[in-house]
Parts: sequence; C-alpha cells; structure tokens
Amino acid sequence: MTTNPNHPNATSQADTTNATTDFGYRSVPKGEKKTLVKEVFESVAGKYDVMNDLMSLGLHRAWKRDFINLLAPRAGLRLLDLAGGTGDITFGWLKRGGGPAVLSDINAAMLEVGRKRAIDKGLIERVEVCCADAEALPFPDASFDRVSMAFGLRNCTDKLAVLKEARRVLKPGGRFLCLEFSKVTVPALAQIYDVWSFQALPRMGRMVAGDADSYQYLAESIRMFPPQAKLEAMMREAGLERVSHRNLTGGIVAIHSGWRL
Amino acid sequence: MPPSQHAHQGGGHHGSSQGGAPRARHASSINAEEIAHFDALADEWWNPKGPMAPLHAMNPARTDWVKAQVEKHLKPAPSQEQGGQCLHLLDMGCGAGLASERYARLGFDTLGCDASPSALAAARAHLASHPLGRGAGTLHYHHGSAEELAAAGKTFDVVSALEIVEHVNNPAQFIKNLAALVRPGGCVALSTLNRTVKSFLVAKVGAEYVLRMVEKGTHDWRKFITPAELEAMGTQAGLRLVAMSGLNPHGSSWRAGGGVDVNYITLFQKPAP
Repeated sequence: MTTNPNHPNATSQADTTNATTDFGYRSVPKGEKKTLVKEVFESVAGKYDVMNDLMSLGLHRAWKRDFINLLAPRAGLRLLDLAGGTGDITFGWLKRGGGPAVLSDINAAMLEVGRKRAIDKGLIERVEVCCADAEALPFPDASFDRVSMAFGLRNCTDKLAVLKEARRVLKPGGRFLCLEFSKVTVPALAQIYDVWSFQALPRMGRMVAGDADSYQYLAESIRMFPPQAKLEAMMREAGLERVSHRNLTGGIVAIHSGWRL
Repeated sequence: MPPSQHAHQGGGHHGSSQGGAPRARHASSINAEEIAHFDALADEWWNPKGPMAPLHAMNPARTDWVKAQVEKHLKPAPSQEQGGQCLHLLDMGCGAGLASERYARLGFDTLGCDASPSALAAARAHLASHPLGRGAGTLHYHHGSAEELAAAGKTFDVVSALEIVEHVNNPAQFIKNLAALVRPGGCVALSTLNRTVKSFLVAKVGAEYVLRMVEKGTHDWRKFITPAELEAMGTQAGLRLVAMSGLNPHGSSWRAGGGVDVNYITLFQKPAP
C-alpha cells in the first residue's frame, strides 16, 4: 500500500494482500521494514534516553508516569513490556511495587541498554529480558496480567498482529495499554508541533546522536500512525474489549486501553 | 562507608618494594600501597568502635546474605550430593578475619587469604582468643595471593571477596583470578561500592571528611564500579550474575536490601558443565 505524505494520519495498516508498508513516508516491501527499523534503533540506542528528553522537552517522563499509573502495579501482577527498549516502563512498574516483569524488544542493541540499566538499578532479578518480535511472541496464552507498549507500536510492520498477540498472552481480566504519539487535537498546537518534529528534531538528531535520518524517520512514523479512533477500531478487531483512549498534551500522545474479558 | 577490609590482589604492575628487596613470585597481583595502608590498621581491626566500625556494623548483613544466596543457587558437587559435608569457602583479602570468622560460624570450612602479614597476625590472634565453638566450620589463614592458590590447583565451592574489588589495580583480572578458584557450579560473592553521585557524597565526602568514619584516602571514587561494569567483568571471567542486593544502614546495623546506589553485594555462579 503506497502512503500519501499529504495525509499525515494515513494508516500504516497494510492490507494483508498488499506487499508494501510504510517506513516513515516511504513505501517499502513488507519484509524490509523490520530490518530498516532495526537499523534506526541500533543507530540511536546509546543516545535514546537523552534524545527522548530533547524530543519531548522532558514531557515523556510525565506521559510515562501517567501510563504507569494506569497500569496500576501490584505485587501479584505480571507485566509484559513490549518494545520495552531501555526499560523505562518496566522499571517504573517495579519501582511502584509491580510483580515480575518481562522486558521484551525485537532490537538487541536497545535491549542490551535496558538490561544494563536493570543491573545498575539492582532490579535484574525481577526482570526477564527477552529479545522477541511483538508480532509473534514466544509466550504461552494467558500468561500476563498486563501488557504494555510505549512508543513501539508505530514501528511494527503488522500492527493488527501485535494487538492480537497482546490479547492472546493476556490472562482473562488482563489489560493492554499502549502509549503512542497520536493526532494532535488542538489546531494551534499542531502547527508548532509540525515545525518541531520536522525541522528541530532531525537537527538535534544530527547534533546529539550524529544521525539526522533516524530522527527524520521517527518524526515521519509519528505522522503515519493511525489516529485515536482508528487505533481503537484495530484494537476491537484484535478481540480486545472495553476499548478506550485518553489524550495527553492535546493529543500529541494518547494512551489506548483494552481488556481481555 | 566501610573502608576496605583487606590488603588486595588484582592484576596490574607495581614498582619493586622499598629498599630493592626481592619481589614475591606473584607480586604483580598485589597493590603494595593498599597493603601498607591496611597493615597500619592491623591493631584496630577488631575494635568495633575503631576505624573498622562501619565494617563491623555491615559484616553480619553481608555474610548472612551470602549464605542465604549460596543455599539458593549453589549446585552441589558430586561428592556433596549425599549431604552432610561442609562447603569450602575462600575469603579472599580477609584482612584480620572479620568475615572469615563469621563465615566459619555460619558453617563454612573457611580459608582466609590475604597479602598483609600483620592483618593475618591479627586474624590468628583473635581466633586464638575467640574459639569458634560447636557447629562451626573450620577456619585457617593463608598468606598469599589468588594467583598462588590457583597455581597450586586449589578450588572452592564459594569464593568471597568483600569490599576489595574497588581497591585493586585491575578489577577484571582480579575477578578472573577468583573465577579460576571456584569449581564449576560454585559461587563467587563480591561486594563493592557503586560509582554514583550519591556514593561520592556518602562514601567519599561524608564518610571520610564530614563524619570521619574512615581514614581520609581510604577510597578512590573513580575506582568504584557500577553493577553493570561488575557484571560485564564477571561475564568475561566466565561467571553469571545470579543475585544482587543493596547494602544499607538500618539503625545502628546494616541490612541487605534497598537501593544499590552506594554499597551493593552480588553473587555470581560458574556454570556447571
């Protein structure tokens, strides 16, 4: 499916009969996206946390705090943190008294940063680190109480497959929560946000991480991600119930929630 | 924070000893400055209100944690599968035996090894006047280095090196030396200080300059080791990290648990074939 850059919120959910998908504003063969995304995150892994602060002006910390509050950590609950990368959600969950967590990511370089951070925080015994593809998880059905995904879904090739897998590994009564960039709902903010994303971000990427292209991709991937209502529909299609979303910072990001009942 | 309990081994090279005296065969692994520093404190080791007071306070928490984790993780050697045999533990850099005596009382057959003759003299004197009592393991002391023991083909079920690794010249080599001394399936326990802003303020500025709990110059903050660095060194030495805990003050004593941003303790395991 060829995407149109003039439609910033055009869905990246390719038709199953189609052989292409989005990679930012480019249309690429489906089989290539994972490799391209892998290269992006291998490039930015070492500076990922610093760049998150710069990209979001530190707001990502507040967004993640809200997200962890909604996860409602408790000692008896088990978390699967998909596309967990450097571990912010996993560590927040554990700090707040959550039960054992699996920190999972398809990218070994990002996961290694997360593993080292877990060791340095003295949390490694409570974290299982697992290199896994969110589209085909190596876990049995009904094995987690919570599945989280923060800023990862937009980088997946087959988003519906990810949502179906999240539902499959959830226990009945378990909850899936997704924190992701979304469609800005405040017109004045949308213009500022565009300038920030497409002019400031790649420049900062060049200065801080020596890599403008990766940050250009990150900005484009945000625009290509399904808007709030569309993602809700995909979650329902995946079999999740009581689906809802909550906008943060005028819709720059949204937290989507769904349950396996 | 606690000064090192010990005179220390580790890779790295040192100048010849004073007066051109011949160097010991394995002197390349021994930090002469550290030995001199702790030699000078030999008479004070067992004074719970002296310069080793922090070490006395934290000693039970460290050794009890090691025992609990060893019971959880150690794979018995074939000769131990019937039970009833004491585990052999090497306390590397034992100083005057604060940890060694406690390990023996916890039931380990313990060998305390150190490169400081005066610290070992203090250890032997204390043991002579404070017998271990019933139910304890055996306790012996040895003057030497990790390399010497390894060269002699010695291996142990457990190797413990508490508050040492931040004092050696080459921590990675030191950990390799320890790994050579533990049998497959056995465990290596290491406690040290994390290199964080908090540890600089607490263990360096606070303990040495503000509270004067330990002598100035006891620690070099730049030689403190983060848990991830320690884990990487363990991995290079063929060991696997299996447990970790913070060591933190708790009233007048210490306990294992809480944050790892100042003192922490780890247990590594040598994979069984």
